[in-house]
Amino acid sequence: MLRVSHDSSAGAGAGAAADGTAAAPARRVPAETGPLVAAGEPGGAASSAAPECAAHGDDIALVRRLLAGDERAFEQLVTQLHTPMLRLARTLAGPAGAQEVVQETWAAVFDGLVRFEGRSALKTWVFRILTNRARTWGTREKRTVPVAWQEDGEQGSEPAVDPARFDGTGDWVNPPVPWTEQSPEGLLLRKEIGAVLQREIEALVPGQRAVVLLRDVEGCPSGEVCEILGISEANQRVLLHRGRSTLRTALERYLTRG
Amino acid sequence: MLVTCCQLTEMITDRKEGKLSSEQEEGCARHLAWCDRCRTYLRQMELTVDALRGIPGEPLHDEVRAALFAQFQRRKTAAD
Repeated sequence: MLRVSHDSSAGAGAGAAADGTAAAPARRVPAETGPLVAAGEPGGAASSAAPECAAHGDDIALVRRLLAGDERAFEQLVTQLHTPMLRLARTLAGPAGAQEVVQETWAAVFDGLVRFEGRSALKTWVFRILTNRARTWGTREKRTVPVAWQEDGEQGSEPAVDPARFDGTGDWVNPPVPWTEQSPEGLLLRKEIGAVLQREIEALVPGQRAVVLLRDVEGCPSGEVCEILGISEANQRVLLHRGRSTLRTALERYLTRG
Repeated sequence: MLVTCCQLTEMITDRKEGKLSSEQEEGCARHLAWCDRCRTYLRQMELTVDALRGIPGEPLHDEVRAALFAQFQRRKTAAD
């Protein structure tokens, strides 16, 4: 349903100061800092699949402070977003391109802040810029940035649970054993669980990894995730389901072994 | 609608996202009412998702922060 237009060219130009001192050469201001709100945003309130489009007042306030040069606001922005950006960039551009993509995204964000209108969360707005930067990076480096989300989604036959664990009628023959830890806090108190999850997320196919990262790790709402990645709502749900199921199996393997 | 254990494991995300038909929803609820094994499975899926939300992020190094701030300042000065 919702697709971000990747080729909108309006909005480029202003503030494209070539900044030769940055670690990565500054390139022209990307188009994505222009009309960032995907078409169809207003008026979708009737559908539950409509993107969250309430005004993001806190984010607007933060951006105002940033534009006024408030250093604390800058701290807040960077602390909130840098690590999530790196995680998403690694998924899209691999370890090789992640640093560069994040660097370029920050440059585009700083240049584009003045055009942030709060029609989506600031985090979503930044992630969308990052996705577009990653695609540009992929083209430039002649690497395939996984735009293959759809392909991932088409692996719909891949079951959530190993079919061997059910009998012919679909009943469990090898049912899940309750875990000792019955709260997420309890799980994460075991420090290695965090590491297991990190590692298993890295091992997911890119589409599943991106969706799980954005939905479950970052907590972005479904409509915004579709917008950021340019995928359909149904596709997103398939990817989310496969990703979550795989991670549960991984935890099960870890928690019930020997 | 009759839902098997195997089918239930495939419906969990759609259910959480509110995408099941009322018939499917009812079938799931009925199944879960009597199947403790699927309740265990559902609970594990929920725990997994909740744990993901709590994964600690990597700390941001001071040098990175400082470099970004310098970049921010330069951009701002250029724009002013």
